Amino acid sequence: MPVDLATLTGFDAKGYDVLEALSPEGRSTKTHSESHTFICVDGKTYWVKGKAQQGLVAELIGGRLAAKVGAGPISRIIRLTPEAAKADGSQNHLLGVVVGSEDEKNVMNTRDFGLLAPGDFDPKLVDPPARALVVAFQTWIGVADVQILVNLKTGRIRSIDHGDCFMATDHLTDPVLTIVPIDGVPSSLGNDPTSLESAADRIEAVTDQQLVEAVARIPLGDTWKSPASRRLEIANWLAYRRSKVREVIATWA
Amino acid sequence: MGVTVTERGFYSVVRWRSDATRDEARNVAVVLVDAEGQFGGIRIAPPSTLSNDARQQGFLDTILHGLELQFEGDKRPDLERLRKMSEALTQSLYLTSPRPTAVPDPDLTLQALYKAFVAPVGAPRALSKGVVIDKVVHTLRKRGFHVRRSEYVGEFVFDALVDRTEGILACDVLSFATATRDWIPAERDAGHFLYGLERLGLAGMAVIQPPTEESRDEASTSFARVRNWFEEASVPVHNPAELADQQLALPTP
Repeated sequence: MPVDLATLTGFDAKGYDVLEALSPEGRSTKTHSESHTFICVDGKTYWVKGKAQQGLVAELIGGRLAAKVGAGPISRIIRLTPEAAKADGSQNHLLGVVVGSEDEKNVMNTRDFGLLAPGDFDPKLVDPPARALVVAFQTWIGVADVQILVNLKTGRIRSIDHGDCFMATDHLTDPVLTIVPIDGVPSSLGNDPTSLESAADRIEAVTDQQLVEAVARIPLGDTWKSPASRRLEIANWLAYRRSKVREVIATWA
Repeated sequence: MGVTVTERGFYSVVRWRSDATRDEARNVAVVLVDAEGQFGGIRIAPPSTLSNDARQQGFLDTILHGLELQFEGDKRPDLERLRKMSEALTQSLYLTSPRPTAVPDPDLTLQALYKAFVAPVGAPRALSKGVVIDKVVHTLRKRGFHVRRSEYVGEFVFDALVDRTEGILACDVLSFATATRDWIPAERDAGHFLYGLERLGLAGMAVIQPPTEESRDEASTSFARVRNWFEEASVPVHNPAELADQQLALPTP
């Protein structure tokens, strides 16, 4: 299936699916996006954000692809109404059709690892193939503001916060090896041949049709920065880089 | 994107604190209302997931089913009623303060809140006796019967009691569909039931989940043994699924 405007338009014609937010869940961040957690109509909790550096389109596409390859939680289009938001107005910046990333239990952003007490997390839990997959994924989609979650019980690594991806997709660029350090975990953990091959296989398994699906059926508007031309550009940019991930992660020393 | 009319509702989580000293509570149900009592409902966790104690299961079932019945009348509980319940119930069983929620659809919203706060997590449970009692009680209530769970009649406790104008029907519920090795407790259970039935002169019915292909040989042997006892005592034996059949007449005294 070609990655072209006609194909994208065909998918867009189906319209986009929206998940209704029901009620605040109680957590929030003080980052650029000021995201808050909401329980949505599927019974799951999502981190909802109303703005992202490169538009909500980046967060949504990044999350869709992360879920597709198994590197991170899925992102969905969320509708937040005044009925679902706090009455004090503190969540009004999120009202409308925005994006949400599915919450995961027992995880911590590695940026917050300083808050851990000794014994709270065993670095030996980290699974090399899972880390290799996240390195391959973040290398592929060109994450600038790299963030990962670590499951403190299982050591599973997850890629999150893809809102600053796809900054310059107007010309094709080769991927750059992207590794997020994890306190207590050797920087080389995951660079064994088996883990690297498995990770590269997962990225290369994403088909052109899946790429078009990942950039299709997305709302329009200022906060989304999602005209069809840009989304098509992103799909082609990702298609170009997809086959180069294998050789780039092989340089991981 | 379809247009959804969203209303505002309020929900409380019903919590059960089996040991007030330890103050450890678990979520057992969620209640949804609106300001005027126009819509709402309650979703309850299966009693067998709430406690291993049959008497506690019966107690919780009685209280929670009582709440459930309030939503079946013409005048449903509204926000004021939910607030009063929240203020009045503060001991072993209590309700969290009502919180606002968007309600795109009352049933979907209740289901989502149940999934978020109450639904058991983890792998599906084995078809234990408690799980089968959940089904039996639910099925009989759905057929319109008034059913009490794990209650005594005189000196004898029964898994379920169906109150009818023609007299009480006592039910013994057994499951041989687990990996258990020791079936003596199940045989004692059946013996106790038959003895109690005879002493009290009640009508009785046995509902038995048969062994599965994965069950051990001992399960099949024990199943055949107790089924013979019930036949000899002229107590009808049914598979749980048969109870849903509206044509199935329940035994009379």
